[in-house]
Amino acid sequence: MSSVSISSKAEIQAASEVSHILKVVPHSGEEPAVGPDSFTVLDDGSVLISDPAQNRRARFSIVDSHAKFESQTPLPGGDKIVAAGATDDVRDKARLVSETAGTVHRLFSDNSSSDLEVSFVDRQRRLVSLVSLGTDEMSYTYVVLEIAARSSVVEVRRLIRKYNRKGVIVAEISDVPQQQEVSPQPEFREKSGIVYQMVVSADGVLINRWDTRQNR
Amino acid sequence: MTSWTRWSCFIYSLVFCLTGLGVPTQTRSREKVIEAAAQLTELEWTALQGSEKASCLHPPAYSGPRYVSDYHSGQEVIGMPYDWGGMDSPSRFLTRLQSGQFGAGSHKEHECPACKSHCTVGIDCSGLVSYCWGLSRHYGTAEIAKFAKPAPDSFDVFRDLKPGDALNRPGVHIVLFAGYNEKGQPLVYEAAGKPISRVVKRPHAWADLEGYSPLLYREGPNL
Repeated sequence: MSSVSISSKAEIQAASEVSHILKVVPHSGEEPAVGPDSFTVLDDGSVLISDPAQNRRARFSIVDSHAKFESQTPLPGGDKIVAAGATDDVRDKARLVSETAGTVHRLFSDNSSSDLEVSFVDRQRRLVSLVSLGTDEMSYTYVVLEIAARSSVVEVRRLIRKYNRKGVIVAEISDVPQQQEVSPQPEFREKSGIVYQMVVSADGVLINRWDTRQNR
Repeated sequence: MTSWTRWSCFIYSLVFCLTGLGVPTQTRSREKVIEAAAQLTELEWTALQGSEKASCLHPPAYSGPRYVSDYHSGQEVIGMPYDWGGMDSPSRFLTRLQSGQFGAGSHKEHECPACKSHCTVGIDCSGLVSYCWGLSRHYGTAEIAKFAKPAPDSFDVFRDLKPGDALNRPGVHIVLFAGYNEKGQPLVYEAAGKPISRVVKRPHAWADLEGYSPLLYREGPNL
């Protein structure tokens, strides 16, 4: 496999300024936790985070591995938020074909398209799901692989791969943290060669970043 | 008493006994289980002025945060609202909602052990599975496993689930499995808490369900 590993130490920023804490209400009884449930990365590198427990979207700029609160806007729907559910804004279509393979029908910025073959071969684990994060303007495609051993209980690991236009793996991220309280949708974003993950725990929100711009 | 009569009495007693334990009173096919879930998901309703409040959630019996429904008067909604501890059928939900005496949905924070009645309507996660499986009452995530078929050692949760099975994490959450989507992810029906606050059908990453165990739907006579 011609993959390139990215450092296992992702940069971590905590969005935790006292007056602008993102609120997480841990699960209680059988009711799931409530907390930041989606995010996006803006062109200037700042992140916009949905904070439903406080009915707002909060924007944080990222400076030297620290998050600085910038502004907030009410979530649509006023003070009675009932989310419509996640939307899939990625144009690529991923499909799991077998325990070792999948395909991603990807659309390039020049409006051409091609099928990317994704392969995962391992003695103990197999591929159980495949999702595309999208194809960027440089024609790199980012995919999330969920891999697992045969099991009666759900236990998975995630890999994120970056493929070039020819279908060659140019980067692989294998140290993807698991969520602890809320499962954001989307959980991952890719922007200009940087892969972002929002992790929500009882302590707050972490934005993990993996810079793959050197991997071409 | 003929042997046939004695046998009938035995069967009757057994069914009566098991019904009291919450075992389905009649066999429900997997297709019917999914149909029930789809009805909860596709239920169209409009919040009323009366459904913004809950008549029983007042001091001194109730000491939680002030109840305000997730839904405002006139709001048109698709999907039964999340109601902590609730297990309403669509018809019961609509009837009670239109009476103007019940709040639309509730959350754990509105729990009221001292209240004499349940004055909100809707369904929660384990209520959804209890209802769709045809159980006679609401069973929580810690006790519903006794109505499921044990998964064999060779069971592979990533491949062998069938529509109508459930994925459960006792004390946390439960979802009803609807199928695998083309990405290999589980497509589920669930009564989701805030901010969705209603019954939806949606895919999950497997990682969202880390630690969940399969509960296999017991099709056929539940003896």
